[in-house]
Amino acid sequence: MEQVRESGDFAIAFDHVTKRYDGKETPAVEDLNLAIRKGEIFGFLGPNGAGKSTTIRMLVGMLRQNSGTITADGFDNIVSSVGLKRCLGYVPDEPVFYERMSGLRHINFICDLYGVPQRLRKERIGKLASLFEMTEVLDDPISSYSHGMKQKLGVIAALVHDPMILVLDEPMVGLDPRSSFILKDVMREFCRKGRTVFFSTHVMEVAERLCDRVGIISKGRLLFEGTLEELKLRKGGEDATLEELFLQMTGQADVAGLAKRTEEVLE
Amino acid sequence: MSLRVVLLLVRTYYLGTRPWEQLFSRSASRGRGVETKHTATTVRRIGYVLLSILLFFSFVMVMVMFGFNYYSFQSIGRTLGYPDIGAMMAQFIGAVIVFLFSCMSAPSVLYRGKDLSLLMSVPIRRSELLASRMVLLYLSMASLYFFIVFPGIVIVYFVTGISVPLFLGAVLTLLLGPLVPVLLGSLFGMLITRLMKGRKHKSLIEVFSIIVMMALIIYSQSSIMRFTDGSGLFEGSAADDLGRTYGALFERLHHALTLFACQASMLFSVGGRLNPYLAAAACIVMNAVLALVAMFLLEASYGRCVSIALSGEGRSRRRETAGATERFGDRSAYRPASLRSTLIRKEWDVVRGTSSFFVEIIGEVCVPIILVVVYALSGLLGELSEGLGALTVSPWFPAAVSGILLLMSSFTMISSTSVSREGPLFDLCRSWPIPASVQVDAKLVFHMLLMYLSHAVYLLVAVFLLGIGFENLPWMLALGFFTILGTGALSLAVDYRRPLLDWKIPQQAMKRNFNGLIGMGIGLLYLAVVASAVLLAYLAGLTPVASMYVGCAASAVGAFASRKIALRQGRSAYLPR
Repeated sequence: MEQVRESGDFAIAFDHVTKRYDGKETPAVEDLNLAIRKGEIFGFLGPNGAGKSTTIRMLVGMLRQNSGTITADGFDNIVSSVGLKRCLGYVPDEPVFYERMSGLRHINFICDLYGVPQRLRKERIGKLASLFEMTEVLDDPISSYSHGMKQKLGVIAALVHDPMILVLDEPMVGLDPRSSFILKDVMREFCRKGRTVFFSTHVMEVAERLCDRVGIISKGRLLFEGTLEELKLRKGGEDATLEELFLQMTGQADVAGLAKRTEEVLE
Repeated sequence: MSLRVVLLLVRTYYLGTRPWEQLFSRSASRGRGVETKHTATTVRRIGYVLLSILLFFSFVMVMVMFGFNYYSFQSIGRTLGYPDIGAMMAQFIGAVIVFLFSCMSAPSVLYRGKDLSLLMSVPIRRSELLASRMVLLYLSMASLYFFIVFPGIVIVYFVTGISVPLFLGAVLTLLLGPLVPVLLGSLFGMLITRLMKGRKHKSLIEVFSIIVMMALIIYSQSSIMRFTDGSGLFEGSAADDLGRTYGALFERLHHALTLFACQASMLFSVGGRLNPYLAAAACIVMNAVLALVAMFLLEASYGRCVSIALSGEGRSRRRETAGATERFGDRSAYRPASLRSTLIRKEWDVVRGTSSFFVEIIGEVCVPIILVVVYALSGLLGELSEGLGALTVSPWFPAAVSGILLLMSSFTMISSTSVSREGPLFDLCRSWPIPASVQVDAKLVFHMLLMYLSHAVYLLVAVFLLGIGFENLPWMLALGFFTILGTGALSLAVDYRRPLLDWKIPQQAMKRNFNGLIGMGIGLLYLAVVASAVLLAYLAGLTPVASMYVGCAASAVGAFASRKIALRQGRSAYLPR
C-alpha cells in the first residue's frame, strides 16, 4: 500500500478509516488502509458482514467514517462529496430505481444529473444497451424488469456518464453467464483506458480471473492487500486456489470438517 | 377444502406481515436502519400518543357525523312510515363504500400478494388458498364497514331502546353486512384482472373511492349544518321539509334496496318491514346463496387470474410509463433537461409510483373542488351565498376568503413527507453529484407547483364567484405565494431533519408519519403569525388592504427564512452519515 501511495499514482485511497455504527460495540470497518492504483481492477473480498458494503458506501459518499480520510480521484468523500460523486460510477448491491420510469427515461435522468450532452448520450445509451442486450426492453417500465435486467440497467447507468472510477458492490449477483461475461469484459476494457474498477465479490473465480490485486477483509479489518501471487507466497501454497487461500485467511478453512457436518445434517 | 389449512394460511399471513405493528408502531431506526438516534425518543413517543389520540377522536367525529345523518334519515323515514330507513341507509352506504374499496383491494389481495409465489408452489388446494385470501379481504373490509355502519346501529338503539332483536341484528349486520360487497368487489376485481390482462388499475379506483368517501363525509358535515338550528341541536322541521321533498325518492329506494331493507328489519323488534327473526333468516339465506355463487365463479378462474396477474407484472406496458413519448431511437428521447426540471419530474415519479401517495396528494389538492361540488349538489352552496350577502360588503371579506383558502393549502403533508416518501430511494439521491441546494429547491418547486397553482386557481374562481374586487388579487396572490412557500419550506426542513425512510408500507410514509402532523401544525402556526402581523398593522391605523400588504411582507420574510432553514437541513441530510 505504501508503495502505491508513494508513487502518487493512486485513484482511491483509504487512510486509517474506521466506521462504527451507533449502538454497536465492534466497528464495521477498523483502521482501513488501502490504496488502489489508476488503471487497475481491485477486488474486495470478504465473508458476509465483513465490512465490504460499508467500505463501498463510505467511498461513494453515503456513509461518513468516524475517523480517517477517503479520497477518490483527488476528491475527499466528506469535503468534496459532489466532486467525488461526479467522477464515480456506482452500482449498488441492491439496485433501486424509480420503478414507474422506463429504463430509457432512467438513463436519460442520470444523464441529466451528470450533465451528459445530447449528442453523446444517444450514442452511449445505444452502444451500452446493445452491449448488455437491453435495447428491446429499454422502453418498458423498470417495474417489469427481472433482477438481472435491473442489475444491467444499473451498470449502464453507472457507465453512461463516462466515470473515471467504477465502483461495484457484488455486481455479478443475478446476472446470467453471458451478461456476467460481458460485464467482466467491460471492466477489463474500462481499465485498459487507464480507469479504475473497485468491486466487491463473493465469487472467488471472478476475483481470481479478473483482478490485478485483491483486498481481503474480515470482521472489519483488512487482512491482506496485494496480488494473488503475493497471497500465495505469504500463505505458502503455490498450487492453492484463491478460494482456499481466502478460507485460510478468514479462518474458515476447515473445509473437511464442514463437509462432514453437512453430511451428518443431511443424513 | 380443509378449514384447518385455511385458518393456518390466515394466521401465518398475520404473523408474517404483522399489520397491527405497521398500524401502531414505527421503526425507531432511520436511514439505513442502523444508526438509531436515542435522543428525542421520548418526545417522539409522546408525539405518537398524541397522534393516536387525535386519530381516535377524528374517527369518532366522523362516526358521529355519519350517525347524525342516519338520524336525520330515520326522522324523515318516521314521518313517511319507514322507521327503518336510517339503518337501511347506513347499511347501504357501508356496502357501497366497502364495495368500492373491495374493487380496489381484491386484485392485490387475491392475485398479487407477494406471498402468492410461495403459496402457489406448496401442496394446498386452490380453493383453500382462495378461501384464505377471501378471509383476509373480508377482515380488512369488516373494520371499514363497522366504522360506517355502527353509528346507524347506535341510532336504532336511541330510537327503539335495547332489545334482543337489536342485539342479535347488530351482530348479524356487522358480520354479514360486508360479505356481499366484498364478494361483488372480488368478482369485479376478477373481471378487471382478466380484462386488463393483469395491468395495475389500482390508482384510478383508489382515487375514485377516496373521492366518494370524502364527498360522503363532506355531505354528512353539510347535512349537520342544514338539519341543526343555530345551537347545534337537531331541528325537526328541516327534516320534515326534506321529507316532503324527497319522500318519493326514499320510498323508491326502500323498495329497490331489498337486501338492505331486509337487513335493517333485523334490528327492529317492532316497526320494521319484516319480523326481525324472519328477516335474519332471509338475510342468512341470501348471503349464503350469493357467497356460494360468487365463490364458485371466483374459484373457477382463480388459477388463471393469478397467472395473468403474475405474468402481467413482467409484461410491457408502454402506455402506462411516464416516459411514453420517449422511445429508444427517437431523437426526442435524448433531449437534455435542466437539472431542476429533471429533479421536479423525479418528485412526480415518486408520487405516481405509489398509488397511496398519488391518492393522498390528489385528495389534498382537490379538497376545495370536492367541497364546492358536494355543497352545490346538496344545495348548501346556494343557501350559503344567500347568507353571505351582508358579509361580502365587509372590507375584511377578501381577507377571510384568502385565509380560508390558504388554510386548505397550508394544511398539507406534501412537503412534510417529501423526503420520507422516497424511502430507500433517498440513498440513491444521496449518491448523485448534485448540490443539496438544487435538490431542496426542486422539492420546494414541486410543492409550489401542486399547492400554489391550485391555490391560485381557487383564488381566481372565488374572486369571480363571490364578487371580490380584482384590485385585491395582487395581495391575495402574493400572500398565497409566500405563505405556501414558507409553510412548505419549514415542513420540508422537518422531514429533512428526521425522515422516515424505512417504511414497510407506503401509508407509513404519509398518513402515519409524525412529520406530516408537524407539517400541518406548522401551516396553522404560520398562518396565525401572518394573521397577527395583519392585525397589528390594522391596529396601528392602516386600512384593511394596506394591512394585508403588511401580511404579505411578513410572509415573504418568513418564506425567505424558512427556505434558509430547509437548505440547512437539506445540506446535512445529503452529507455522508
